[in-house]
Amino acid sequence: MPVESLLRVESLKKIFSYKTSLGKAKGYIRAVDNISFSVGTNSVFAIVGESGCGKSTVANLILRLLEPTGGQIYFKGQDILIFKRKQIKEFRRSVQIIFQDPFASLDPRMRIIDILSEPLKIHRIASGGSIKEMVVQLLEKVGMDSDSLNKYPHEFSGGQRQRICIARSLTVSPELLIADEPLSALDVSIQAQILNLFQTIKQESAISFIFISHDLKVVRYFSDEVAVMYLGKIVEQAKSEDIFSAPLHPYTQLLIASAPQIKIKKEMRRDKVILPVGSPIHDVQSPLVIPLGCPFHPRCPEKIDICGKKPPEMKESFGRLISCHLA
Amino acid sequence: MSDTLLDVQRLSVLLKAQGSPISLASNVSFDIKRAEVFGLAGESGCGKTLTALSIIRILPQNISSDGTVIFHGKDIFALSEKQMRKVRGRDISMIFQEPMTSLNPVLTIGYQIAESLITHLDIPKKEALKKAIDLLNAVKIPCPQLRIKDYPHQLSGGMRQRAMIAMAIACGPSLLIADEPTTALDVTIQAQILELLKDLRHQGRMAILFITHDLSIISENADRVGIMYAGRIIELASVEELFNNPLHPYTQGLLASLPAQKGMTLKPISGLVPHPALLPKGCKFMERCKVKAKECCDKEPDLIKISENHFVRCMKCQ
Repeated sequence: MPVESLLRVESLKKIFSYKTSLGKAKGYIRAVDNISFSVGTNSVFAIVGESGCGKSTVANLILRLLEPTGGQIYFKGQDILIFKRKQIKEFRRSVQIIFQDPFASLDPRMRIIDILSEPLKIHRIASGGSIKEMVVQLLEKVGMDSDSLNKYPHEFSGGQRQRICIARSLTVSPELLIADEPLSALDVSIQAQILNLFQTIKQESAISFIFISHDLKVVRYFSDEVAVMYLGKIVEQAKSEDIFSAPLHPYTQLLIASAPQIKIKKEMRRDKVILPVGSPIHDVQSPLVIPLGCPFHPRCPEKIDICGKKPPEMKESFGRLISCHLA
Repeated sequence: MSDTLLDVQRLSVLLKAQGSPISLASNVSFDIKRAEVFGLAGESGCGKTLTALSIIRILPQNISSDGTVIFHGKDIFALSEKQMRKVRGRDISMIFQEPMTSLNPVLTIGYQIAESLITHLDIPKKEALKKAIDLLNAVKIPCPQLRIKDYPHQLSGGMRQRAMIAMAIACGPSLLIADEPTTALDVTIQAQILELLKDLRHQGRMAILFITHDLSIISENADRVGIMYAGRIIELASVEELFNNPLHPYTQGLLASLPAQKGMTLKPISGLVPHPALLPKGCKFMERCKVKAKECCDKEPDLIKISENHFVRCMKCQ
């Protein structure tokens, strides 16, 4: 790698143990299993996958909201896992997160001005009269006016709250913004407003994004690179155009084929490429029981003998990464 | 016999509030033909679900509805509660967004499916349970003879929704109301459930009232569609007509909001959905409309027929 990327994750692992009601350890969940990727400057790296695949755990690990079981995370070349408290505080100025539910991520007892000035005070970015000035600027940046300053979160709609969350994450001028399903709780017309806002932020502030989503339409629109996760592993990773124009992994193919699309002609309604319905294997696999071999093989329409025996290695071809025996 | 299964005329829904009641839906009229899939789409709070709940009369106590709903030639609103109970689950059934909260956690799946057979069709319990196995088979749940003894928490989200569908189709209803049936599910499971509904509809000649916020699901599954905004149907058309020739500025705005080509700036609808108590006097979409004229402020437009299969509530189209 000629230039050190903004964020580099190497062989990251997180294993949760779960217990019985009597407190005895019962088993382990490999939520994130040996994943590596890097995020360049001013680019959008998307992580897609179904519920339970470990997308959000990755986000929490990068922010050190969770401690990984193994692996390394480098931010601008520095290993963040050896950071002490003071360095973590510094680091969290550079990396911010926006959550899915804008109703749960704003303190209902704080006014907007308090919500937005708190990070400014904690990180000593501004003081005194300049705080209010900065807060107003931030609100303007996310398309809200200064009337909102003395209001409480409940006085706003979902879209407006998500704007406030975005403004809060921008208070510390981060270099990397992790957006964990930021649009899922919003209506389509509001989604478009927030997506446009993300585009503007990306262009104006040269911020990078880790964009976590299950909505392929949005990912295709916004991201530069995409990693597809399945049961804690990355199964395919490539440039966004490549993934969507020619998905290689059977799981990526299934995901893309399953996503409904607007069809303007009745004849265009497709016969879906869907696995034989009704087999017990057809459901989303529970992360509690990860199958031997390739994690996707029980649902895979193209599986061969080896798939059930040996997990595939990550292979690189034409600048794309894929983990599949057939590739 | 006419082809119309359900005819909803001038349905309005009112929320009892301190002071004057708040109108949550007004003048909603549409019809569903036999074995047709009718989509009702719109953003949250537009009145889609309330319309559905009014049809089977399970609105919360502080909400009342008015208008006429004719189902199979019977006036639903004129039925007594006792008569209505016979309609629900037998002639009209409903599935909801969150299958976990709509199944009873302390009863087995098998019993919950058999219950409607026992109640409505007077089938003895043993036989009803046998039929429950067939139904689970019909919704493609593997090993149904074992699954009928399972409790809801033992099933995955997709399985639960299948079990809900099995309950709903147990008595062979002629209308199934599906309220966001796939919103809580993963995309691959969503595709399976949609496929299942399509199959069942072809087999059972059952009509479906499909409520969703996702226009792409409508475009792939419905025959006709009504777009709702602020408690009104603002455009009603065949699916093909609606997506080829959207006429209402709101429908156009919704379609333009969908992310298309990478890097292109999206054209969202500006502003927010107005609060139901603070709706503008004229056209309810006026404040967010790009092409509004002076007359839009004064009078709310009617739903005007543009062609055989296309109705629009907009001054510009008159």
